[in-house]
Amino acid sequence: MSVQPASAQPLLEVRDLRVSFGEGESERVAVHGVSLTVREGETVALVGESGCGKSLTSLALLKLTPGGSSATADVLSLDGDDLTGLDEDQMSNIRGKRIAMVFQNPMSALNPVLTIGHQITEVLRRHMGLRGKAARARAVEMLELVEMPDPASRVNQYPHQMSGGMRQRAMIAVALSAGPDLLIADEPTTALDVTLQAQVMDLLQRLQKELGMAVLLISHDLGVVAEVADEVNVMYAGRIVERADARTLFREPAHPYTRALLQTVRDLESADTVDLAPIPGAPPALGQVIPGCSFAPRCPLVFDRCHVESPPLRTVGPNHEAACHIAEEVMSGKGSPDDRV
Amino acid sequence: MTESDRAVTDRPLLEVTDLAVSFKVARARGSWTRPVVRAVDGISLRIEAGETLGLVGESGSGKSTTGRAVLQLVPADSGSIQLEGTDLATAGANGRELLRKRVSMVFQDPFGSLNARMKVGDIVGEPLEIQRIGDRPSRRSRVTEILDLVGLPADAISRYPHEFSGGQRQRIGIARALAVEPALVVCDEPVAALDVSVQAQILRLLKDLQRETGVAYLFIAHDLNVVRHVSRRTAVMYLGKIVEEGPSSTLFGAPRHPYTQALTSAIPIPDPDAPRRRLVLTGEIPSPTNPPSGCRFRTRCPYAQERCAAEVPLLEPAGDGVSVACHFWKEIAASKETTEPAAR
Amino acid sequence: MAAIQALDVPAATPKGQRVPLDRRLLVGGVGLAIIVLAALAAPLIAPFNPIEQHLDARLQGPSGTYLLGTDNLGRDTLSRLLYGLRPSLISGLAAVALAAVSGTVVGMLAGYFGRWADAVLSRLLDLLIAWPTIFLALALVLVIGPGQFGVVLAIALAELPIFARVMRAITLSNVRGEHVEAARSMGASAPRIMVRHIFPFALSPLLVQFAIAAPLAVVAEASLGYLGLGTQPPAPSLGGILSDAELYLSQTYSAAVFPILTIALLVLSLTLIADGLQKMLDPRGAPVGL
Repeated sequence: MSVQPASAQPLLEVRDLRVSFGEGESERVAVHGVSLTVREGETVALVGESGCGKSLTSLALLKLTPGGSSATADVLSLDGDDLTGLDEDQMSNIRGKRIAMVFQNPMSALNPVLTIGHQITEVLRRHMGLRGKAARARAVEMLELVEMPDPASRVNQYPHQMSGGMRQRAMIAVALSAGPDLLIADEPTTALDVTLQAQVMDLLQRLQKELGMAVLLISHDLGVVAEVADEVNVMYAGRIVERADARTLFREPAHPYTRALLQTVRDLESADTVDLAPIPGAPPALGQVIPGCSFAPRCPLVFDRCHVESPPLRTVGPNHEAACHIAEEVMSGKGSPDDRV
Repeated sequence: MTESDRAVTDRPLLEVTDLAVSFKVARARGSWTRPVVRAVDGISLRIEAGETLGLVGESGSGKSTTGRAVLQLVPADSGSIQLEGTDLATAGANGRELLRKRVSMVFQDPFGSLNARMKVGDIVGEPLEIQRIGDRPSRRSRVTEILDLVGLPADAISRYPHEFSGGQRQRIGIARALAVEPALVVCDEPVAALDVSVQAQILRLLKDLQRETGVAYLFIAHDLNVVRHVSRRTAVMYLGKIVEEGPSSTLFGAPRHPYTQALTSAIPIPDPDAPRRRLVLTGEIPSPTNPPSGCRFRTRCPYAQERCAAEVPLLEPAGDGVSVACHFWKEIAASKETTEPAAR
Repeated sequence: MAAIQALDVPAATPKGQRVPLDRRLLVGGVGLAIIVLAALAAPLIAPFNPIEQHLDARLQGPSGTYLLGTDNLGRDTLSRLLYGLRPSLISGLAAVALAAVSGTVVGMLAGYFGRWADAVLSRLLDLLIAWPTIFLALALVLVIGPGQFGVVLAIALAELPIFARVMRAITLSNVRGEHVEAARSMGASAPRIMVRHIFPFALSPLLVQFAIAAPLAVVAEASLGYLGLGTQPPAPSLGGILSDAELYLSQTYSAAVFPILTIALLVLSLTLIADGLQKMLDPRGAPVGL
């Protein structure tokens, strides 16, 4: 199946998304003005460590942020339709139908007291108007599509009767049953063993091509991202600090954080004789306020300006943006481990 | 001490021979007997002083049980565990004392493995207190010293674990493990719960500490990159058995067992242009209550033949210091050599 | 800026805020303090000797001389109540303390050793629960004779399962934890693990259980006293005073009403303390009530 040509209008557009907890003086901002664009059929990755706000960002797209938080955005549109003003009822017609989501832990997404078949037919009835035998036949088809072994009998099983890998497939089947345009996959393989991880990533990629969906992949694993993403957004402390097409980002990182992460992962691949040069310190806790650039306390290239002025995300090359005062120097390799030695 | 000096000592630090551990699990509905899981089924390991042996495998492989059996936290059914030449099973109380003084453990969960109601100083000093090593002031100064060694601030001693981040808490756990100056530390997934940047700090710390103190590690993990990075030798486990064992560089660079091949080719490479030569396994790890006959990997092995169902493959030397438990490893290696140049 | 309305959920209680002193805890504490002080100060403030009979002033209502009236033997009700509080409070407290200590030990052993130890101890607890306190007390009185000791023992046995069950649950949830496994890996002995690595996690739930059990013990003590199983006449006890007054209810209400009010005030104070403690130590749980 061919991917449709990129139209002028993106599938998903978010401008200046902010998510915060609490009010007034006790307000803690978890996501600081994130902007994202996902075009049809494309895979966009949102990478970062725990507490960077990547999962909150993805939940905010579906207006599912947890209680006690508030989220605002200048623009939140899906295929040209404005979502900002939609109420809960209208949003529930979008969720599952046009934007679907799969999670790290299938047990939290699947209903433990309903069979897999029931959970798929529920989506089919609600969003596609399918009922009875037709819905059931479609449910078996969905399980076939996700390569569930023996789909005709698995359709009658409960989640607890399945193995971890099968549950992951079942969750994907439920998510895809209404034929969404966009699939948000939040750490879809993190809880799986490496051989299952490969199976599930291959499956997601195949389904994306066959169904022509766009995928927003939330992950901490740069290896997984490199294998599947067209465009990569790196998040740190609630902000996107770098965005580029995958090849550029992995070849020429322009933010010291991206570069250090890549270096760490590559050093790990090398033999035990190579010493790791880890990023010192820990990522800031969610909502922790750091003056200036939030990476400054851990950055090897930090200088005075970094502590006062928060660098905006700016264009540093073709289809390449970074939030660093000296991004050009970082791209040219300044201060890299090779440079220091 | 150089590597060759260590190798000539005839007695390894730890020698595990034919270790088997089994558990009874909950009764299935409608059944009268509780099924027995053979979590570890006859494995042998050898760790020299100051070296790191990596133990990799997926969930259900028995790698964590192996670590716990070495520490005698779970009873072994059979096999022997020799520490510095002493058989722990026959040495009784002396063996237990030797074990507690020479072997300690670092756990996966930086939150759950520390008693939240104890101060960091008491946590790190507890093994000294239990072993009755030194008096109170000397224990205190040892704790201060070890906290500094693992890179924690001096005031940590009078604070509680919840005041620290995950990475710092893992440092507290490492400090506790090193307090008794052990010869071997069993590390069970010590970085699995941490972020990538913090993972690297902890791995670096473990390696630095090994260089400074000469401690040996049994490093248990599911993440192949992490294991490859810290261990000179690695053993790969599948369903309670070791399928391949050898120097990490050889084992990961030229895996002989089809399972090791599948594992290494499944590691995602952080490079969009990297060639993908994936041996993607079908299915999942079978239940250890009812493992396949013969070779346990045969149900997922692309090369499986009749002999694999009938006959259990034994670990045999396969060159370059590697041992492999596969009937057909030679044939598989030969077929790779003929197909690979064509693929390139 | 357009707000994403559906997300504007009411804010939850911000974290990190100190839990203020619960008002119920305060009121209950004041009530209990007054009662305890009154019992302690009985020799100072009681207008009469509690067993002194004023046969010329039997079954009187409240008056200037006898503030709360007199009973059938002309004994001053106020004085008897003040002195009667003492055995009630002491027996109640002693019974709960005994139940707490033994229940904690039983629960910890059952949870820690599991298997047959757990099976045996849990069945014994079931047996205690199945046996009403009154029958237990009657049986004990048959064996060791009437008196406060039997009452304390009976109440302690009846309340032991409350503590044992809480302690067993907390032990079970900790015994497989990594911090306990870590202690084992260092060679820590079973008593050390129980005392240092399990018991500290049970302290606040046990405290709440203590507060729940205390009013129950007071009620049980009064009931047993009413049946004549506790403090022996002529020494006063709350249950005993009530039992004496019951026969003469048609002639005077005061000798019966005031012991009832005293018991009610004591139980109310203790219950308020239990609710308050629970709320403060475990803000998510519902108030316990009675």
